[in-house]
Amino acid sequence: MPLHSLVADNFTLRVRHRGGGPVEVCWLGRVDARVPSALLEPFFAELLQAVRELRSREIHFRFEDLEHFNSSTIAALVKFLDQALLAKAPLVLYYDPDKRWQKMTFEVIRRLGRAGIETRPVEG
Amino acid sequence: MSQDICFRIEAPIAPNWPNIELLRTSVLNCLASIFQDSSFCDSVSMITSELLENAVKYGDWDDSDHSFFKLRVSGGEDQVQVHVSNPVDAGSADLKSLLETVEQIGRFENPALAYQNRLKEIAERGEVGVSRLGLPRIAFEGNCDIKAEVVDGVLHIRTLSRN
Repeated sequence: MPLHSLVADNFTLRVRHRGGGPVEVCWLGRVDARVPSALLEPFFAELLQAVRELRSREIHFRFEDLEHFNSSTIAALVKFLDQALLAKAPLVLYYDPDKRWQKMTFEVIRRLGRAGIETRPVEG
Repeated sequence: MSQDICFRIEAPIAPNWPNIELLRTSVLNCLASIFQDSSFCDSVSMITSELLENAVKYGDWDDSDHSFFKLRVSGGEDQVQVHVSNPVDAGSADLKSLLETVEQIGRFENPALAYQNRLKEIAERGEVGVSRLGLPRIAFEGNCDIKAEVVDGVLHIRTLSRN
């Protein structure tokens, strides 16, 4: 299955994959839809399906350039953590520790202690 | 509150989703012209957008006077209050749930635990649709107290953030 980026009104999830490496998803813009799960859940399902078919199964979500997301988006993301776990797809969440809202969000997600989920600050 | 800086933003709002982002960025830009700390400005603008989202989602927009939908952001050097008021159906399950959420947050030792607990519930129950995460996020990321009351069919939610 080919990997497609998701382009919505206010945000883009840009997918990159180089053979053998992780599948990288860069979150850009503002994810502030009223029901973001309507957009994100089909994208996540397609992503996991595509990752299953690739040799490298690791997924990297890069949030450091994201401007804003609402709490409904955080909820959709947290639900995806367990789906990635079930699919045996290790997930790394990159964030900008200089943005306090990102640091606070991802430190709490780290404390959820989900196996196979790593949060990684991007320094500098 | 300092006497040196004192501000007040007040706007009547139409309950349309795109207005939320317009007001979030307006508040962010306004506060950025007052405060040096960009994280604090991000935090207050996040509070504004989460409260407005709740109002648009759960307000009573069928049989009510929309002029009761208002945003007020006010404060000074040390603290900022965000106050959103909107018409509600006093018997609605959404209102009951919202008031319960405010109470629940207060029962945790600190807002971080309330937020973490809600995230765990979402992850473990795999709930779809309503997240009920906005108020715990406000309390935690905004590091603020939340007060909610219903007066004459209008819900008032006030947060107080300290800089």
